[in-house]
Amino acid sequence: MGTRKHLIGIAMAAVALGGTARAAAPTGDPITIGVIEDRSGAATFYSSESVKGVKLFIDMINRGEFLFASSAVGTAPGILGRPVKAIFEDDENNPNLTAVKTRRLIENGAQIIFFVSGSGSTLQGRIVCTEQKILCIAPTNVSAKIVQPPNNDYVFTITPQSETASAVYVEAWKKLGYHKLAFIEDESATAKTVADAYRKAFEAAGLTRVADEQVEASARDANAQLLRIGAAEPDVIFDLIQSAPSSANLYRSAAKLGVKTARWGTNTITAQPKIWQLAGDAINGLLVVDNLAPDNANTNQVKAAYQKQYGADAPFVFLHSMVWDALMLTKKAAETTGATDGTKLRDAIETMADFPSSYGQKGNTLTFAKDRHNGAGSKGNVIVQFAHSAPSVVWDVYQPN
Amino acid sequence: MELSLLLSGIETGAFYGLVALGYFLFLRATGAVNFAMGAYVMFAGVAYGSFSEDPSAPLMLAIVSALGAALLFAWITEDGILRPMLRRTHDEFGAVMAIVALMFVIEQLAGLAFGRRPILGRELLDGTVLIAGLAIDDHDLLALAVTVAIFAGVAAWLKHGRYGRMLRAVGDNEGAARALGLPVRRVRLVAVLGTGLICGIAGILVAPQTALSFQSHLSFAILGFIALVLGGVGTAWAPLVGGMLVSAIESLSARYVGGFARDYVLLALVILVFSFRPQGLFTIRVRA
Repeated sequence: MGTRKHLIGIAMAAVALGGTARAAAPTGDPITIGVIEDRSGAATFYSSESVKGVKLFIDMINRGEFLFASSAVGTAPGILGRPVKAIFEDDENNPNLTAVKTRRLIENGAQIIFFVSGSGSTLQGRIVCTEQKILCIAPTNVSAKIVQPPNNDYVFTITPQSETASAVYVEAWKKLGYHKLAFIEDESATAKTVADAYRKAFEAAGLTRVADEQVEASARDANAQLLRIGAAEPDVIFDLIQSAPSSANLYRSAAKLGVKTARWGTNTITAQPKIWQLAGDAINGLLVVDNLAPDNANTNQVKAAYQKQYGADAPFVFLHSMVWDALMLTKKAAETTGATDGTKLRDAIETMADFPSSYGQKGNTLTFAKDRHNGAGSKGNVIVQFAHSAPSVVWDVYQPN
Repeated sequence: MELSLLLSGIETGAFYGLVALGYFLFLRATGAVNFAMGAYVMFAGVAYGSFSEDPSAPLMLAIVSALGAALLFAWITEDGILRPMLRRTHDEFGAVMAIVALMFVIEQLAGLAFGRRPILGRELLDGTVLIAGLAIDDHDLLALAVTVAIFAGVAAWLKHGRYGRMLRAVGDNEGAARALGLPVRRVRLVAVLGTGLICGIAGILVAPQTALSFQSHLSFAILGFIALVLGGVGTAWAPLVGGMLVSAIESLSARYVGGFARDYVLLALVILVFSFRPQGLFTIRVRA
């Protein structure tokens, strides 16, 4: 009998200890993150990936699963002890709609805004952030204009900007002896925004643009454009197409025409697994300045959580990592200031330095300042090459550091 | 013109020709321009793509679902929208608006049923052949052969088939055909279902050639209509000629002016045709 009482006592103590060891579930009014996504425009294919990340990682925050980021944000579930929820609005990647949709999110209770549509959309949406003094983060947008005046007071970005990436391209192409460059893009607002930045940077670096082609959104192939490019004899074809079908058509056309010119693209391609699937083997050999490195332990932790939720074969792309980082920054900022007030959150992020990141090369961190609303560090870029229809090979010729 | 451009131009022109043939038959049967034609093709293509994406899925299921959907939409257009509307009123503008509304309904249905992602269908034939060093998919050659066969079949049907000849009579003067005791309703329905079948086949053929999404229909509708305008309605082959012209203009403007120029050149040509030859290249000759 004595032994039985003893065992029951131990069991009760264990239950009690277990109960106190598990952090309390978040309670109270939820903190609402409003998300501008694209469900039907040219950015659908990468926006949908970001949204998958937003949904999963908010669940993880509410469960208190912070992986490597717990060193920076602690282990308390939720934000400020309150649950987090997301509400969504589709701007169709149409910058004319973004401001209206952002206002609607705020009217519906959003205290923080995430933009996961195109860069062109964020450029319009950020105006509302300044007007309403609300924290806005565009985790996946590459345009440097987003964090430049005017209307940049309340908006932050996380991914390396096109200017930073362009320096990596220039360095890589110098090593390969490339001088002549052909641009190919589509007619989307985002493609134009991004392409303008790259053009400027490449021209400043002394590269010669020998062809500048545009693929219509409805075009069934890119044969004519590739023939024009071929006639210009570039050293490299640089793909800035944003739409997945058009991008896939480009690679399929290049394969059919037997194009041998080196092909480089932006991380828009690595962000959209649909392009890899549609292009098949035709995409192999393409080089991209991407943002994921296979040996980054932080990346691998987030990837494992993502694939646990969406399946072992679900492609994990840099967008997921950047959305994770944006949510961790939000938690850190809110808990540093004890509030969700936009101005206080902004001030808190502006003081963050060496914040642990889940993307880039090993040891990559994010640093912000009053005049630096893009937190990407120098190790944020990784050059990868497509093989077996996926960006699976880290390029061994050159990596930025 | 480079061979690659010529081959892709023929392939694309054949597709535009099929869409224009759908317009042609519908116009002959009902007197209405059916802008939902692109939506029939898109829905059929996306349905075929969705059901054939999995290599282990039976291809017949994908084909039947694509054809069934296009036939259903064509039937709804005639028996569910046009006929009831025109029975109450002769407002043709209202009928065209109702068809445009149907077009957007089909778009959203496709998005709901198959998702808003782009879909690439499975090729009906595997393998490639080399023509002058260029790899041509067997599927593309099949698509071309099927297109020519469809045009030949429709031309022969209009000339020699019982319903085909009656369709010419109905198209030329519906009132007179009715007075002569021709089964106008049945003739119209057969022709309209014919357009559905053609659009279904066009969807199946195009789905492996280019990734389709629920929004692909607008360009199909516009380019198919331009092909009809250029070719005219004089013979069953006119839409094919129009399709080839549209494709040639697309390819040549993209090749020699630049990709941005395609829409400008095409629309300028449409304005010219409407101004100077609104009947298109081929016209109907009626004996005095």
